[in-house]
Amino acid sequence: MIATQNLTKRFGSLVALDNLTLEIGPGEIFGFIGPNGAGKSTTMKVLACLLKQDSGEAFVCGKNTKKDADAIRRLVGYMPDFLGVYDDLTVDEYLQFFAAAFSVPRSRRRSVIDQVLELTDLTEKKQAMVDSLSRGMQQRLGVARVLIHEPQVLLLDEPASGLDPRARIEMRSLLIELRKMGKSLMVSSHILSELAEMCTSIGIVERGKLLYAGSIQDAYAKVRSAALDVNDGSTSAAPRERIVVVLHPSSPSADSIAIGLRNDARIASVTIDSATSLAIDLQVSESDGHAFATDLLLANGARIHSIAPAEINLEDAFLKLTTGAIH
Amino acid sequence: MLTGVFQLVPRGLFGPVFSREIRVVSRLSSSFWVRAFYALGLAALASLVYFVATADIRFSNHGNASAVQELQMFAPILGAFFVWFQFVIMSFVASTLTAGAICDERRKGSIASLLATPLTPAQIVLGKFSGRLVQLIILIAAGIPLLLAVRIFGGISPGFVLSATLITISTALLHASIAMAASARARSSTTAASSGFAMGVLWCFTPMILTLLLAIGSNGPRTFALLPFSPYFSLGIETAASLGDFNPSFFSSNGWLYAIAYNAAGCTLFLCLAVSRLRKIALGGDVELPAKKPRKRTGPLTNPDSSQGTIPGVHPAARTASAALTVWDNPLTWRELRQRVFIRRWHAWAVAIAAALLLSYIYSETGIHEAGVFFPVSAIVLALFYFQSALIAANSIAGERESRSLEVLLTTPLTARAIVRAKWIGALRRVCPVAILYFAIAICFGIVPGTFHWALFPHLLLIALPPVAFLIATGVWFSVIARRSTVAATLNLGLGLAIWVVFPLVSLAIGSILMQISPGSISEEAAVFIAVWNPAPMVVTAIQGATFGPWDVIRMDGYHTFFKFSFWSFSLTTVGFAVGYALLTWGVLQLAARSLAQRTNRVA
Repeated sequence: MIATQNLTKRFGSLVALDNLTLEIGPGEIFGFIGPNGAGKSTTMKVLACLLKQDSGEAFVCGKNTKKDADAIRRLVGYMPDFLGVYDDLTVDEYLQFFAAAFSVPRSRRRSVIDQVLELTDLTEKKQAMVDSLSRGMQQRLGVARVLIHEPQVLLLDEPASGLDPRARIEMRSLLIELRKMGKSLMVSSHILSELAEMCTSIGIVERGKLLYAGSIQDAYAKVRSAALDVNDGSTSAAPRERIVVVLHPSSPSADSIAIGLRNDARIASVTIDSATSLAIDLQVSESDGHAFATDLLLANGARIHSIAPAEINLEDAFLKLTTGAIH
Repeated sequence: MLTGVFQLVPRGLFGPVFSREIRVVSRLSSSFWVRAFYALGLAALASLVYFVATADIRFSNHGNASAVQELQMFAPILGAFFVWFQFVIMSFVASTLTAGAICDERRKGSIASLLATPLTPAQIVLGKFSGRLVQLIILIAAGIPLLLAVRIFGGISPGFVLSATLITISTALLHASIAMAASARARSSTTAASSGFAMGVLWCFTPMILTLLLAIGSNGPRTFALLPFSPYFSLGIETAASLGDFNPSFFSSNGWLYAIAYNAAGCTLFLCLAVSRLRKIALGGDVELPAKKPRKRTGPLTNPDSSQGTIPGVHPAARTASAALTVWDNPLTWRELRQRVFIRRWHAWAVAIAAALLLSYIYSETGIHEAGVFFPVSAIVLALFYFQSALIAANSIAGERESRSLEVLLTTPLTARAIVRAKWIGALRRVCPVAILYFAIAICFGIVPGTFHWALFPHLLLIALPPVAFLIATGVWFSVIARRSTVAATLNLGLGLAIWVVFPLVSLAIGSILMQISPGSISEEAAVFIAVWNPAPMVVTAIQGATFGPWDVIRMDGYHTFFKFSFWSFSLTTVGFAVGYALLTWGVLQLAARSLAQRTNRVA
């Protein structure tokens, strides 16, 4: 649905996008992650035909943003990070305005507006002035607006910014609902845990360069593997896993158990987190890792309270990928 | 109390807010361009006036003594021209400089962080006021050397330079303070600038209006004591005195000091109002711009597309509301046409009643058939009409950019031409009240009482409206290319002044020089062709020509003022005038659409 090839955009001496190449398939929710000023909004603006790239190509639904801007506008719903609203219109008039602007036929306009209001839970606020709405409601109105012409692709720039937890949950549900309706979504956000829950794939961008694009699971695997490589300096491509062990208070100390573990060739490294907690990097495949690790711990006199694979979340992945820990 | 004042002045006038304002201005390259262009413009104008005024001396065979004497006569003319030019420009520039001081911060949401500091509202207001006025003082100061240079020719006193400069500065400060107070209330900087400027003009006219009001019921003015308080009157008297034309006994030589004191009092009052409003914002937590109230619906909600039937499962009342499709298929034009001209309906009534009362008073004093009264009244309303037109359109695209709704609008497939056209139509609609006032005056006080021939009405329609349409089109264009609405407004007003005031003067000046060098080198037709595109002489000719008399006189000789037209040739000229401006308007709108398309990556 979306493809960019060597997209480059400069603002004076600042390179906002540096040969950015990515691809987003139909029905995906693509989480676009990056620090402030990384180039997320610029990418979205190029895809929404609000900015012209200096070089490279961008395609939406197979149409070139440079050549078919008018057609793309009808296929794309873009919601900017700051929703500037017409303060002299009611919610209903606001949506009518954009329905008319997108040439939605009069015969369908009413029903489409009612549907998007219902979808975004704004039916009650239909006659309220737009600028009297709370921030959360304005964000939902922004989503309602981008849906008014039934676009195939949604570009949502920080749709959850400034929302309270409830509104964020509602927004997340709404986006998942939209995906179920068959729309492709590109969502940028700083709340990575939320993206992890709803995105089918992510792209991590920094200083205009795409550092990673793919599924979240692949990102985790990459981070996990890279973390072990960094720890032991190994370049082995063998599957690796980190497990976290919490010892029972009556167990021998983590230090003494670690000495025994380090003598085993299948253990890449042992990190002592506290007197009762260890992180063990296994140099074995995931399938048999837990079983032998448990045996090994018991053999070294450990009394185990819990044992589990180390959690790697999107924040870890993001930090590691953007701080240059992974190349 | 004194301690408070001592703390307020340095921390307010030269505190952190002042430093920030200065830093921001100093980073903008446009600040330096404005100063440079202003100084160059003044020098160019002064040179032109000099060449015109001295052409006779240089191309004649008078003796040296005579030449020096004529140069001495020229100096006050140049001084007067220069002083008034600067006075008018600075009054408006002052309003635009401070108009965004508070409302822009509220719009951007940065005022909350400013109010969270230990700075008091008074310090914030003073800091912003002084910081923004540095630019103004530099511009006024740029003119002083030129004014002093005029003294080389003699005939202009240092006292006139001093009084004129101080009146200009104090009036500029007054306008700036009013715009600052308006900025604390207004939703946009253009609104603050225009209302600030209009209020400033009213403030300056107030002593003259009071003198008129006090004269009600008597044969002449009861007192002249209030007149020197008006900066317009004081500067006028000072200018007249420097020209040696007029030196009334009731006006003391230091009368201009009253005007400065009056301006200072106004400046203090409006700054206090700005502080009070900012304090209210701070205490009320009202840091964001207030939401607008929904407008009252005047009729039942109806569905223009009634064939759609009813929506099942919806309450009848809700169904009526739900069924209402109010927005047209051309949504931007719909929205532009429903923009309010007056914030409250009673404002419109108040303005209409005030105008009616004022005109009734004037005509009751002079008599309804007094044709001479129509000239100044018509000129003032026409100037207001053009001024409003220049400002109103400048807010169109730039205003959307400032409120950050433009980006959302640009995601729609609306073409640049459709956007520009809608903005132009909307601005035209918003100047309608002044247009109605203008033509109502012409009909009620001119044509109906029989003072003027009915032909005045179509002539005025053809002369007054097309330049407004053109000015609005240029406003939309400037609004596309300028980042800020106040910059667009200033550029548009400058363009209006340039083509209808400066260009005719320059043309006349060049024509005069050419005639001096080589008599007969310029035909009268060429001069008419240049002047005929200016609405001011055309309006004067239309009024003069329609002054009631025998039809034969009107038809044959009525239109002999600046030009020598018969009724029919003048009528034909007004049609050509309207068509010419319509074509120009169309061209500017095309240009605006192209500029918008280029800037926003869309089809023109």
